[in-house]
Amino acid sequence: MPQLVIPDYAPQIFWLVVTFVILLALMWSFALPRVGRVLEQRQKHIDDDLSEAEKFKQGAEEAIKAYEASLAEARAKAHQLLAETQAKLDQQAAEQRARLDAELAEKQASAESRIREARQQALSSVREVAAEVARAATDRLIGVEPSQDAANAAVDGKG
Amino acid sequence: MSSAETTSESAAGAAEHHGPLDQFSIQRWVEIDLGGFDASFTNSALMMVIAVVVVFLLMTLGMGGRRMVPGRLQSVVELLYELVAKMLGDIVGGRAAKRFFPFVFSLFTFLLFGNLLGLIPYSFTFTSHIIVTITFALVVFVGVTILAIIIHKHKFLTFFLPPGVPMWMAPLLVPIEIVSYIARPISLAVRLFANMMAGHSILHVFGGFVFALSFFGFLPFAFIIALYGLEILVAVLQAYVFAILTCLYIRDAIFLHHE
Repeated sequence: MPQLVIPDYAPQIFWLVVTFVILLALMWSFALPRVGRVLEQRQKHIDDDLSEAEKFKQGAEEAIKAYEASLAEARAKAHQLLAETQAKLDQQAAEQRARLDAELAEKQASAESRIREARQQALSSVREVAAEVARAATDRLIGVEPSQDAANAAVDGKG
Repeated sequence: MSSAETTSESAAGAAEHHGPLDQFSIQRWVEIDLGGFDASFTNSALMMVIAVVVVFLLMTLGMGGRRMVPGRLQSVVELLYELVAKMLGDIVGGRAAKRFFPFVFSLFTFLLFGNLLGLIPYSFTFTSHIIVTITFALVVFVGVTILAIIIHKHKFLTFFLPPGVPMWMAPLLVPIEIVSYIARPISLAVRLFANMMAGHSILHVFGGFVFALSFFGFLPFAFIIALYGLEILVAVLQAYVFAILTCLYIRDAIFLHHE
């Protein structure tokens, strides 16, 4: 069994110690700190990115909040504007209607007065004609022409 | 097997292995003698060097871009890093986890690539040698024991007598605890070495069957393919187990039995 050849032990131990010490020294002084640094840096990078992402998220949330606030404000403004316009339009319509009503009422009144006038005129001319007819009839019947005033009074039913 | 045989074998040709255990034999490629200490460069040493180079290249090339969004290679590096970091963090935790991180990471990657590179045909698995695994296990064992003594001083001895145990049990329990403590490095070393050796031996045996059975050789061949997949799993798992047990021992040293 080659593992039990005692004279072969010395060179194996010697080279084992030499190579392992070299490996240990290389890893200790050089290779491992480098890997550690890279891993640390990456961890830091990741943490930074995460915190930055958190910040961005907060910013986005704030922006959403601001947007929603402005949206609500705009909506309220629009509502108000709508209500104002509605009120103005209503008022305008009412005014117009009132004006129209007044105009119509005026027209109606003038028309009525005109009618009344015409009627008055017609009535007075009927009286005159009646008085005239009465005078003429009286003249023919009895040969006495009554005075204008008497005829008028007779037409009016007084005397 | 003497070293004379080994050299004559390697002279005859490195590829000419016969027994299933010959693949584990150490071959001295460059004889080096450091004042009586045999430090020859062997096939095992080459694989250790390759493992270090591969881990180092992976760590440097993988992190070359240092990209925020990792590429494929960088993902592998970060996966390994975070695997070990999480393992230590979960088991040991706190500042101690950071302090032992480079050691556990180096241990894990070294064993992982030692195991995986050994699965490449014609290469060599240095973790299939008990001397390599016991050296690692003893480094962990001795280190952890010294750590525990530094932290807890004489209170470290209470580790062998769990709290809440009646005093009359102590004569029975303390030896058991001591034996189980001393068994730690042995089980740690044997687990890794035996797994590696057994897997490679079985692969070799069934590889022999492929040729022996001529036409029906496809049966063991199919088995080898399945077994190879299993061996990859074992290679990763054993490195992971070694690392996780190391973490557990570190934790025991810091907190003893409590908490």
